[in-house]
Amino acid sequence: MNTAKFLVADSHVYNIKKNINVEKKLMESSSVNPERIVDQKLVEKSQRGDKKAFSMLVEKYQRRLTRLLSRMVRDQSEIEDIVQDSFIKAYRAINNFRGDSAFYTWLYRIGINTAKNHLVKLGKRPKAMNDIEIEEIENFEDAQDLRNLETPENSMASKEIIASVNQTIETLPDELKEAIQLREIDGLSYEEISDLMNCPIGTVRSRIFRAREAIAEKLKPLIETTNKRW
Amino acid sequence: MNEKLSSLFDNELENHEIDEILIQTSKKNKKNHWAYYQLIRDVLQNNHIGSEKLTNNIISAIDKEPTQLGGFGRHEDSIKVRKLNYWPIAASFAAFFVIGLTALNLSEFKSIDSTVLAEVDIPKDLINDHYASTSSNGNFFIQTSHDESHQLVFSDGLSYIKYFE
Repeated sequence: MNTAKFLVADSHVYNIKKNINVEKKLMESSSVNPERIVDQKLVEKSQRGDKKAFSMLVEKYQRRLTRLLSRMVRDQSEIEDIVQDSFIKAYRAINNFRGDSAFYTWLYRIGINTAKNHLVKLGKRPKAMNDIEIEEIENFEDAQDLRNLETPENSMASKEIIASVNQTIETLPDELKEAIQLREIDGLSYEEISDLMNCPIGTVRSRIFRAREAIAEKLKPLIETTNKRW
Repeated sequence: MNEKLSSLFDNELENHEIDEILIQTSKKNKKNHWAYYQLIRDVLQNNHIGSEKLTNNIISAIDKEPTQLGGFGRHEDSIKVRKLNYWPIAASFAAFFVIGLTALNLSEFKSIDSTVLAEVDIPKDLINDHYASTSSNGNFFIQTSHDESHQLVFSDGLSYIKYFE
């Protein structure tokens, strides 16, 4: 009887240890790439029929995919068609996404294949792209060349948006302005910003949020005139 | 909610907080600033490109697509859905079991209720004796059975008479 009790207790301890190890691994992986965890959760929600979760992925990656494909296709309207097709293909195939790679890697591959097929249809020879080239495009600093491809209408709207964001940032209180710039331009984490600004992480979180809300409020009327869905 | 969404956008939430905020964002009538946060980031990182209409065109196209269900997401919700699918089968089995049990019981009751007429003539004296020994408000039925010594036994629940054949 005592032996049985001991065995049960022992297996209980073993299970607790096992769970702690799994949690540790998850925490380690989340510290490596927390963005991938958020994307994976959005994908899983999309796989369970949540279209809003997929919309969040569209809003997150639309411009990045447009930017990537602008290196393969030069016509702006063609790029937009390809980007749209790529997202629809991704949505239709979302149940096949196992999470072995990052979502954006998977999406980019769909985008590149769609662009290649598009060029083949037009009788143009698609440019082969390897992983290094995709990475180069991802890190491509100057978007000015790509903006030159935009239609005059899009270009005008784009300039207005950029001006509005920059003007609003200039009007923000110094602590909000500094927090948003350290986050968005320097890419620092909340912890790093809290060390630099000598304030708690909660304050950093709040300052970044307030800065974003202030800019978003200024952008709203501008976006609503071009698109009522926002 | 938007402050947490802003933290989610920066990947600065704990795992359980991510689930919590994603449940809130899934509510159809709730509008959030996720798209604005992304736009602000793209502008500040000098990555703003393309038309703002494109995002909405894509979302409209996705809305028209049939909803995707299934996939490899291992979440408690999907397990719950799968568990729920077994309920109709389990309910059918339970219904068959209850119906079967009722039918069986009915047949047993039938055999109990069926009246077996005594095949022996009961002497009138014996019946008179039985009524005489039974109280006036007693039961007036007589049940017959055979005891261990194969003697005919009359009982009405109150009196007990043995009849020697």
